[in-house]
Amino acid sequence: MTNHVKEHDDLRRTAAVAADYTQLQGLINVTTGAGLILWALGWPSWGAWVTGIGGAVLVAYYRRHFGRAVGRTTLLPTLGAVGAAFVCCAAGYVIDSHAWVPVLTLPLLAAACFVVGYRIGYRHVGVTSAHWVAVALLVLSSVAPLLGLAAPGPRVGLLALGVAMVIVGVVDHLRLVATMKPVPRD
Amino acid sequence: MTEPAVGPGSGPEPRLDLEVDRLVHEPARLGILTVLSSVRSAEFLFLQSALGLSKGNLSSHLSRLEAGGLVEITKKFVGKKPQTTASISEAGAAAVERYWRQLDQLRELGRPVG
Repeated sequence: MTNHVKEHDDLRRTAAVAADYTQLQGLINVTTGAGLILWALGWPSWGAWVTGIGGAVLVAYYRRHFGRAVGRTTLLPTLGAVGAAFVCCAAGYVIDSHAWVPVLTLPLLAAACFVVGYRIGYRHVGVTSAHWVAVALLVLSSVAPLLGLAAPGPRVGLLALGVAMVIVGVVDHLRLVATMKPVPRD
Repeated sequence: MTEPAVGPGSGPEPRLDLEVDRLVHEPARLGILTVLSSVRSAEFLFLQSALGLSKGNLSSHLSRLEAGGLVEITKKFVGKKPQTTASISEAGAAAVERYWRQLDQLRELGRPVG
């Protein structure tokens, strides 16, 4: 009986991972995060290459290793949410570039986008403590200039956003891989 | 098994539906239906990786589910490679939902009183 209960719980977890499969392809977030880190360190063109090429390679990697599953959520709200997050972060970048406010707005807005994204993207699998660590990192970095830990400007915000994306991406990828099973040969 | 249970002084309780559908009950088929119920469609490889089933095993279970009207299979060629995609039918969604409800009822019955 206990074995059956465990098997059924595993199956429900697998179904939850299938439902949030798009979001759990975390290595794509890792490359975007790595690109942002390179940009923050002063190599924006390298950052763009890593994000673009890495993203394309990793989309193909997930397709080849695990196949494709189309979620029940329609594409339009997801694209809308990603677009809104991009606009928020771009606005934060502009505000931080001009140092109009004493805190860094890019990581603060990014943290808000992460929280909204968690509600949309992880409806079935939920979030882990590492996801909240990423949000905490963003919030803390936004007050870095007040604490004298960073000079005003967009670099620290970009760096924090990149690191947060790497954390979330690695955790998501590990969750996906832990659920997927090796395919036996006939 | 499906007789109405009568509680003490509270009138008849809802009828327990514990007659399981054998097509759904088999673990691999239950897995396929449960995974498909959480997505709009999934490729053959995705189902294989999610459930750890071999090609032949998955193929035979999908055929049985398709014959029972619980899943819909689409086959096409991408370049020279065949690509099989499966999705759950309305009947399949209802069947798997009923199965999980029955299972939850059984768990409730097995829980110690008090």
